[in-house]
Amino acid sequence: MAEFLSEYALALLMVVTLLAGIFSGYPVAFLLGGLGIVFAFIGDIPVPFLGTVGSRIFGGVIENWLMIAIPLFVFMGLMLERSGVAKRLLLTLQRLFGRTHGGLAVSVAILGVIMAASTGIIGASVVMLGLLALPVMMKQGYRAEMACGVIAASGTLGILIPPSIMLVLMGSILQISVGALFKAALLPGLLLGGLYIAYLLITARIRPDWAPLADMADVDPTPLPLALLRDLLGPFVLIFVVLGSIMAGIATPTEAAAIGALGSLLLALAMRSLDFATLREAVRETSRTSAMILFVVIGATCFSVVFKRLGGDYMIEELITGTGLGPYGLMLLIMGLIFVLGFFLEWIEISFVVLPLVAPVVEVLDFGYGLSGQGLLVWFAILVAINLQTSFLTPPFGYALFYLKGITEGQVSILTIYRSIIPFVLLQVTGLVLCMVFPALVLWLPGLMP
Amino acid sequence: ADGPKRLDVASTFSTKNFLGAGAEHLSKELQTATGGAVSLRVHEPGDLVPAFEVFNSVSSGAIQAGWDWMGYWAGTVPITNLYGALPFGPSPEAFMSWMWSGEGTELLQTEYDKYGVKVLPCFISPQETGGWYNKEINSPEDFDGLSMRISGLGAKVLNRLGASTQLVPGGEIYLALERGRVDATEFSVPQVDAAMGFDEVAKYYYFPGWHQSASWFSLLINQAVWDEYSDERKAQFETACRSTLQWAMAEAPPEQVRTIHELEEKGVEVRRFPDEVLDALQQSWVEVRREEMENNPAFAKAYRSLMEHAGLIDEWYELQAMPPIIPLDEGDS
Amino acid sequence: MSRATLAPWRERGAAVCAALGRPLVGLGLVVGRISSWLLLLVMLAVLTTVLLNALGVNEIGRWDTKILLFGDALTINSITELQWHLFGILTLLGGTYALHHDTHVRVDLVYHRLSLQGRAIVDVIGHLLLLIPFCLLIAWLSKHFVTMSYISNEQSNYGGLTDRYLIKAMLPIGLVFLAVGALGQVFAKLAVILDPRSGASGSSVDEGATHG
Ligand code: NA
Ligand code: NA
Repeated sequence: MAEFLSEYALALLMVVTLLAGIFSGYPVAFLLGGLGIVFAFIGDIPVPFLGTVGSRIFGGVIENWLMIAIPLFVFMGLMLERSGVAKRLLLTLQRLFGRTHGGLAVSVAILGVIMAASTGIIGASVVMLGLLALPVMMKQGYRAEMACGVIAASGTLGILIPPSIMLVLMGSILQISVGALFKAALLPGLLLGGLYIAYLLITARIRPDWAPLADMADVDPTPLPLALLRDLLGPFVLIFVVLGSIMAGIATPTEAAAIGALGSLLLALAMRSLDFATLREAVRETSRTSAMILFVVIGATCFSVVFKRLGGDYMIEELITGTGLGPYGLMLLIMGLIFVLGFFLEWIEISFVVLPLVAPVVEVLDFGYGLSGQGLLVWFAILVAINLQTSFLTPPFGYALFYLKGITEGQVSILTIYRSIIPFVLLQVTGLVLCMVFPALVLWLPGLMP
Repeated sequence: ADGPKRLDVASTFSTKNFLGAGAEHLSKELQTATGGAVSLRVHEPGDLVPAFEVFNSVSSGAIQAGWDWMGYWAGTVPITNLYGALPFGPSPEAFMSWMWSGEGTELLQTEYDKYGVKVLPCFISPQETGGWYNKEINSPEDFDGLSMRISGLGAKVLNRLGASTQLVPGGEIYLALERGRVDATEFSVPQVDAAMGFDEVAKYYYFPGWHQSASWFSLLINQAVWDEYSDERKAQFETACRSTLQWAMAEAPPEQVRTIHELEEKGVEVRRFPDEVLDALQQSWVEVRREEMENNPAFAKAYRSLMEHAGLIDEWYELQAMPPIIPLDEGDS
Repeated sequence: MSRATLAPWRERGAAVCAALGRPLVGLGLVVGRISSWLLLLVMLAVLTTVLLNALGVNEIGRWDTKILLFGDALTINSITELQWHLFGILTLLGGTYALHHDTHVRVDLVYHRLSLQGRAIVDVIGHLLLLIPFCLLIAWLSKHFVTMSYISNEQSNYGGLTDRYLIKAMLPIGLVFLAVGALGQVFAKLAVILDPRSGASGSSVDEGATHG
């Protein structure tokens, strides 16, 4: 143990410094990038090696076409919010649930699932959902914890429910069919969405004051069918166009984001709530908000490459391969390790470090379900995917939480957001255990059940 | 001091597939050749730097070494188009002969010298396939308006036949093909394609891979790092490289055919481009080639040299041509 | 420390720092406001690609002399690559814009309990020790990456845009620009440290009530 600590002292110190550093309140993005540089010097890493950081920023962010979805979805969210479309949509959806407490939160979870089907970029869906729903929920007197939790958790479903860049990357690292992974992830994704909704309805029943109903004075007197037609038609056409253009093969998911952005602009125009000042503000805020998201990615790429160079990846390797555990013991160890790594590393880095290492080990294990080959790897990959999705939500270092924090403009403290996510993380773990115990949840849809 | 004992290698392919596994194999051969003194630590694509940044990072010294498909650098070193994906090029055997007994490696190294990169051609992938199609290609006209994901010289050839060749990032190809955002895509050899799951989203698997007759992969090493090694070590690298190449040439072809048979069982229709189509493609290639040679003297020089060399090989095999072998039948015991 | 009366040197120092910081911060804001509009161009470029693909059009135009960035033809792939070129500029310049608006996310557990001066101290130390070294070092090390692209005349392998060095050069430019912005913030925050009253109106600039 002492030997382990001394060998990986710098990598461990780097993590500890990061965790201590974020509580200083200095911007997370700059802290990540700066610590990378500082520790490169402490660790005596040759300076030219840091040239990898520029390449990683260029290839991972600037040239990464998939990232274009971020500003486009942020803009779409802002446009829908500014034009009042979002508010009317959510309030009318809530009327659908009648006088059920928590109806608004359930609407948000459903919107999250829909967003998830149109993008696989977490920053895009969390921020868009937050822009749409947070103001409405706060105004209605929702407990901040309830509002933030459902937004952050539903926003991260995008990385599980296809299309998802995470599943594509896993497919390429493990060399398994992306199509099989897409199909396999669908039920677990919907299961998690279902767990959220069940939790929201139950909690709202026990604590109605956490999820108050809209003020009667606020509820508009238009008969429900008419209100539905008026308030839902526009957004539903928009959703239909975005999802439809992907389904029909007119656009890739990234391109569909632009169609959505244009649609929201036209919708605002149709609602007569678009003037130059609104557009200008939306454009400016989009630029700042998406830079906020992308600079976290930029900082993280610098932190990770130095962390690994300081032996961080050997450290993880030693942890995994150095044990003589049986199949379930090993599986639990791997899951636990990913969960912990998710506290401070980005999912891409975790996938790179952990997957190639564990795949050959897991491939030959017998879990007693008669799983082997492709089926076993797909099942394993989905378990890892659910776990990685959770890592976006786990404090103190959860990217989804940061993105949400970034758009609250100081109205909600990070502590509130940390508290908000606890029940949802427990739901995630529940979902993970269910998929572990019932592999059919994962393997039935792609037809890989033994 | 002798160079690094453990060379960090940024691979441009997953080591789980045949293309990236080449680097792992090279590491083993290198350990054998050096008596365990030197090995490679192969990093997955993106682990150190993104795949497309490998050449540039080896050149700057940010990373020590890389494992690449040469065609990736065509935007920077246009001559690599010839080594990576040359339409209607010579067979892998003829190509290898040019690399080791002709001018192939030398011409490439001259270009890489400008960037301080040492190149060791270590691996050849078998001819790629003609690609995955959701539309039948019965005549050259069927390319008109076809939207396909393909890059490099092959794309230029198709453009002339009216195809819309597109850039779709690796991560979105599957979906783009499934939904019909593109009608076709080329990717790699069957073994690698099968792992991408393209059989689930495309109907036809076309042959031959006219756009790429043989494609080279190499170990790139930063020149300063390379120079740290003694002459003996350098020779050991070369030996390991040649042995890896031999392994690749022996291993790959039968494995591809086994994979194709599996794909057929899954319902993929394996097709061959009609002769008329191949003729049209080659006519179009001749025009692209003319343009390429005019615009790019280094390419012209290498192409001439390669063709001349391949001509010798062809002549030899023509002289030695035999009738098809009569297969074994029930009567043989 | 007493806030009622301040030593004259502190007041003067604060005024000097504020004066030094103002143009640097102002520059970042002006550039950020302008570059924000690139968003609409990104959207337009994506929509154009979708439209061209639906129509089965690959080449839009071809001409004889090579022009900067576009070479001698405009194809669907030129527009696809234009998308991320514009997106890259939007992101890199947006980073500085977000800095001046204090949009970059903070874990404010402790931070929001600090005084105005305490917060300024955190930011000054952070900018000087972390952000500025990060920007300048990575920008400096990108030199090779840009010059290599320039001398090799790097271009698209899909018949898209040429002159790849232009967008590659945006990386060091954007990072140096961010470092300049951070320096502006350091001066602005020093003014607050020296004279907390100068920060009463907020050292992170706001663009009027429309924000938020
Ligand atoms: Na998704
Ligand atoms: Na986390």
